[in-house]
Amino acid sequence: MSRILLLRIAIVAIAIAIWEGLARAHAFGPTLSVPPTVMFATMIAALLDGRLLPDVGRTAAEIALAYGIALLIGLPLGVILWRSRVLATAIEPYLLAYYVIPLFAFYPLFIKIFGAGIAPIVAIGVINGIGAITMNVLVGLREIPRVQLALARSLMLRPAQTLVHVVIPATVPQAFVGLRLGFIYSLIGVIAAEFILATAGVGYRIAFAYNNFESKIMFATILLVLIVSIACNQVLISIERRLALYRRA
Amino acid sequence: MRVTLEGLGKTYPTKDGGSFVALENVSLDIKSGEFVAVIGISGCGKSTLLELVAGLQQPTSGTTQFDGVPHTGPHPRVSVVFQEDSTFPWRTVAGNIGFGLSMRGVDAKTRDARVEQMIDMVGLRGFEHHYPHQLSGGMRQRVAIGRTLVLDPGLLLMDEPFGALDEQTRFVLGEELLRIWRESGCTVLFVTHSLHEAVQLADRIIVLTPKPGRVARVIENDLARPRRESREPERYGQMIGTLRELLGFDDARAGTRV
Repeated sequence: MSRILLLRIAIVAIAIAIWEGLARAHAFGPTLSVPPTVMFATMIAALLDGRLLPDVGRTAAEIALAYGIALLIGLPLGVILWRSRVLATAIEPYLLAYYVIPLFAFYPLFIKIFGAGIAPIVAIGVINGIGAITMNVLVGLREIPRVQLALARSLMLRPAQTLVHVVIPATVPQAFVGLRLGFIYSLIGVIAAEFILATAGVGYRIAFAYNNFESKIMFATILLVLIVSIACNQVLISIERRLALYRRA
Repeated sequence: MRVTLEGLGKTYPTKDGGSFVALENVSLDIKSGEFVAVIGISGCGKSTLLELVAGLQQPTSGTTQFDGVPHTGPHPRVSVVFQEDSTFPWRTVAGNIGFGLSMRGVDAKTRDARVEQMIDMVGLRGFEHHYPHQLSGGMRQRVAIGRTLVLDPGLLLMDEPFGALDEQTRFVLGEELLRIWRESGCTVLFVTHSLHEAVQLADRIIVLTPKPGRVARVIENDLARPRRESREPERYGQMIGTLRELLGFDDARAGTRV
């Protein structure tokens, strides 16, 4: 385990070292040759002097809003599709094709429908998140062993008891995979949408810096997004692993 | 609990618009505290019969009576042990065994005392805080049995409860089931496709034949307990032989139906 961990760290360290060397040799041209150490220092400085905070705050709010709405729609939708076999069978091919659709190509339509401001950005985050949530909740519900539901019936459990003590605990490990992916997809959707639709936010900041040849702040912002995304994912994965323990029956 | 089945039948509609008779005209009177085994090859309707008595399915015809009272649907004094692993992976052994009591609103103190007692009864002392994934298949079935017995059922329905286990574990659990059955005094209806299991356990053996599922013969099992082939080899062998014959094991043509 520790050897694998070492190797993992080494892979990243070597990649960073190579990048550092190439950047210092100006291998990517005069503007883009920013060494990782400089990116990191710029990121820390920008966080300390508060330059990035308005963008970070706005993006965080958009992600929270998008993810919240995606949950409010995606969770009940999964339950409805579970209860209605006819509807689920009819919709299944569309669900499977969900992430094939190039959502961002429709951005003019989003502006037309939702106007300017944060609405179209949040909408893209919502749509990007719902699919993973709904699909995994549906799979989790479908995989409840029949015998556990038969047991609930033979013990004459009330519907609310069956829900709380059988259906939910049986579904949580798989549903949580959807909750994690849904969060990541909402996050990706929001940040990507900011590139083309926003006047603030980290996605906008990266695009703005790129257009103005401010490579240091561009890379510093990218690095920040990367670190936060990976950290969120790791936290969610560790919760997911803990929940999955129960499934090894 | 006395169990009376009168003309019990179940017919399913088939996809081509016809119908399939899973069970036809099963009548049976089970005395309180009796251990009855139902035996038959796959598809003879034995699991259907058990689910009808459990109230998990509605019969197409006939009635079920518990202590002379007609009943439909699940009954609070009737418990089921399923063939598949039905333990909850998110609950410990003690949590699984106490599940039914919790759901029935029994207070925590009474529940814990009865769970403690049951852990000893089903031989799971030392494992009460383990989760099902840390247990063997046999131990999980002990949990499932404990979970039903702790409710003090009048009738215990068992659907091939040891079907997924190896032969030795199956025999050991069978002997323990007999001990528990004697201590609790409940009526047992035990579905199996194992001839030896039926002979080892039951006072009476109901032989079902398929298409449509109906009672071919009821055999009184008067072998002395504990039943071992080595104790009364001749009579034991005869009983196995009779069952084999009734189930068509020795009929070479039967193979074509499998």
